[in-house]
Amino acid sequence: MPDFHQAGDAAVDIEQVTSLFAGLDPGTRQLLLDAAQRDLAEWTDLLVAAWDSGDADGQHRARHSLKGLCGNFGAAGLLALCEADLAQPGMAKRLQASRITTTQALEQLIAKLDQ
Amino acid sequence: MAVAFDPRIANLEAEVELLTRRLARAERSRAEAEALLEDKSRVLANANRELRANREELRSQLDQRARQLLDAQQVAGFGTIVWDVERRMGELSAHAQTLLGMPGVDAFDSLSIFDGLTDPEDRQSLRDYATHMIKRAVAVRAHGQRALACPKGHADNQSCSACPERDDCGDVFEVRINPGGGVRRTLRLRAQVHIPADLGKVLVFLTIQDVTAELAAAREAEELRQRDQQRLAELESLTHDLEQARLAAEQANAAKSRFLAMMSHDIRTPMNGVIGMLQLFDDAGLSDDQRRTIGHVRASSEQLRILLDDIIDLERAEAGKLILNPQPLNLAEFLRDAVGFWQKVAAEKGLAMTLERGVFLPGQKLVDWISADRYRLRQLVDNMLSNAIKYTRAGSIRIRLGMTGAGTARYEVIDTGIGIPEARRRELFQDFGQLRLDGVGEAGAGLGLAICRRIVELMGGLIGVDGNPDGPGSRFWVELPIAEVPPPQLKDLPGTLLLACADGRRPRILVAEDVETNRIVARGLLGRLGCDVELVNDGAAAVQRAASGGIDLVLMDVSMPVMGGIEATRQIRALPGPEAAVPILALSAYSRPEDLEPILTVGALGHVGKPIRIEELHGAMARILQPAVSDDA
Amino acid sequence: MKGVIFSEMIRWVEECLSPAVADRMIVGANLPNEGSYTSVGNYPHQEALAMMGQLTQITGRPVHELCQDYGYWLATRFVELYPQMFGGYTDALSLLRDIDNKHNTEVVKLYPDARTPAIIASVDGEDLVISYASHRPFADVAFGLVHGYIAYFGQSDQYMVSRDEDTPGPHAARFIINRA
Repeated sequence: MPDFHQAGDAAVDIEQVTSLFAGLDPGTRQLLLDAAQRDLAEWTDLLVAAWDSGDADGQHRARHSLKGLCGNFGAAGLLALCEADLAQPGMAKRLQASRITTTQALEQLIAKLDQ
Repeated sequence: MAVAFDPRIANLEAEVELLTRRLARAERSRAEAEALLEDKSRVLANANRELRANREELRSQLDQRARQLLDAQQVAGFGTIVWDVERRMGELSAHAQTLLGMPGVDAFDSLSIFDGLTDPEDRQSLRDYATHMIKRAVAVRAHGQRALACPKGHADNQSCSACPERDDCGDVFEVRINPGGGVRRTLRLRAQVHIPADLGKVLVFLTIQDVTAELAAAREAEELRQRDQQRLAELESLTHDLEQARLAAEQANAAKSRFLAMMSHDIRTPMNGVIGMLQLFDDAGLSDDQRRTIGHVRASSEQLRILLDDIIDLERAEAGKLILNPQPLNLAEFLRDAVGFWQKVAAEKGLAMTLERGVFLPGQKLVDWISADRYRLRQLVDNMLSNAIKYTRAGSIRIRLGMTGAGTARYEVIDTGIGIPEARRRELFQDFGQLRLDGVGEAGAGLGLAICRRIVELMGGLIGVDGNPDGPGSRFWVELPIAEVPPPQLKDLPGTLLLACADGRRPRILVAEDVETNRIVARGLLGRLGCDVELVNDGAAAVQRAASGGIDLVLMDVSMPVMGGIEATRQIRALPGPEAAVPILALSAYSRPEDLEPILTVGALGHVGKPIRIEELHGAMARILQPAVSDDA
Repeated sequence: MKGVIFSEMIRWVEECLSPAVADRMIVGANLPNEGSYTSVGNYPHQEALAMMGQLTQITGRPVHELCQDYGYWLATRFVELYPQMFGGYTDALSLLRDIDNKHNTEVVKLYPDARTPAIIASVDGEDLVISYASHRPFADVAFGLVHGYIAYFGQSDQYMVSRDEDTPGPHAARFIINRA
């Protein structure tokens, strides 16, 4: 099974994130960061829940939204995991783990920008 | 007293005494009564005297009032005639006598004395009037009904005096008289039946007023009024004619413009074809002569193209359709490009072209960034520089640029060409004016300066020409109000312009997107493109907001809860009013045509992919917000 | 009080009793002007009272009776002396009803300072009630006058005059006149 987060890989695309956040004033940056953390968590949870309950439509919607979010930040790892078959054992857990990693990477990057 | 007691005598004596006493009593009573009466008489006499004095006083007051009334009448031009109905006698006031031309005639007992006076036409009606008034008075006297005398039905003098229309009361009659001496007068008579409270009489009270002047004035006023009416009617007719003429002229002008525009368009299309072909033409395998020929053709076609563009531009300017589209502009960069280009051209002709900056106000630096319409500013500079080169055979062209005060810049192009005679300078900037000067090679249609003028006017500046202060040639100058703007924050958008609506406004963009992160991202990007942003979470909210107007463009996410983008687009297009036409761009992660087709079918104009790339967003929006600029570009 | 009351009183005594009695009354009353009253004068009413007092002693009849007789006789005299007041009346009741108005206003016209008695006539059902009040004690004279007026109109059969016993005279009285 491919390890979606190779060592040394950044969870997010540095250039893309920089370009996105640099053009914003510090207040909006924080807003965006908070929203990103919230939304990433929410849609990941929704995807897992939908899969758990066998809600095909729900899965589809959650996947779609999550992919869109990932696209903003170049979060390739999480993006790939969205597409993964959650039926595989441990996949859901990895999805969540990736989400957390992605969120952390975002925070770190933004913090660097603020300096 | 002691006397022989005879009862009969005693009785008699007693009786005498009694009678004596009685008499004495009566005497005394009488005397007292007399005295008392005398007192009373005196009192009465005094009272009488008082009464008489009061009456005298009242009488004299009455006289005084009467005199005052007469005086007032005289001042007001009123005369009075009082006709006593019972005694059948009339009195004329002094002024009445004057008015009637009968001085000294204080009284009369018959109306016939007025006959000779009265205009024959009026005589009978005057008699009728008099008869009518007297009849009325007689009726009042007979029936004691004061109310008969009063049109308001007032039954006593008090009500009459208190009545607000008292001064206008009474039967009015106008009669023409000839009082003699060749004079003709018109008198207004106003008669009232009057019952003075304390006299118990019935009087006909007549005021006479000379209204000759008044009537004459009224006639004159009427004539004047009619004349005014006539004049007014004439003016209205004239205005109407002018209006018609104006409309005709406007229509003619509009027709001309349409014709020109159509013609230019019809010519431009094949022209573009020619130019396009020439551009593609590969002259690698040609001989020198052939290459030169192609060069000429290219140059000529270019000239034609410029001419056509100028005609169209001028036409637009005249119709007021030329609109400036100011964007932040870096002056240094702009000058480098513009002047740089023409410097090369000048050099080919052997002319020196120099640029001097900041020359007008020493110490006043030229600003870095201004807000200006790059295209039009370029057009202005190009025209002036190309003209300078065209009309200068040898020598130099100096470009001078600088601030002349806070907010005003001056730009001069000084050439050593043939110069322009003072008399013809004004013609230069007129539309389609042409300067045919002897000995000069290139004759153009002369539109360039006319366009320059229009552009400068649009920018709120001034343009003019005078002679070269240092010798032969001309100095063309432009003064423009310029305002420094902060440099735009577009570090990663090389050469990209901020977006603006066709009229130069900041665009107001409505973003419908359910994921919060995406909303914030969109807002950030749009902010950098110079737009104002409104955010909604779903399609229904988008429809509602679009319906209230004021939105220049909608970015509509396709998949949203409650109401998705497709349904929302459909509903917006179904709105009554102009809001239904608001441009909508679909936001979607999908890009395959079959996926986009549904939303395009219901009315979206285009699509921007997600995640949003700023260049793509800019391109798609620019095409929609500024279609005119895109056409020219 | 007006002189006419005094002069008429003497005249009444002279006519209905005798001049001698009148003389004795006058002398006995010890009057300041020795009884020379003129009708147009004004004299203190106490002198009339004094004369009445003498008369009572002379005749032995009570004062109130004498006053009533006097009043009765006076009614006729008033009609003779002041015809303008009584003209136009054919009925005693009408006269009596107007009496406060006419009488006192006429008097006051001539004698602005006169303190006339308060006479109020009011109709109470079918009765005419005249209330009389004065600072002078001549209610009995008034009573006599009322009778006298009725007699003058020849209506003594038609009207009855009674006196309200609850109103004690001689300063005040209530006369109730009703049809007989």
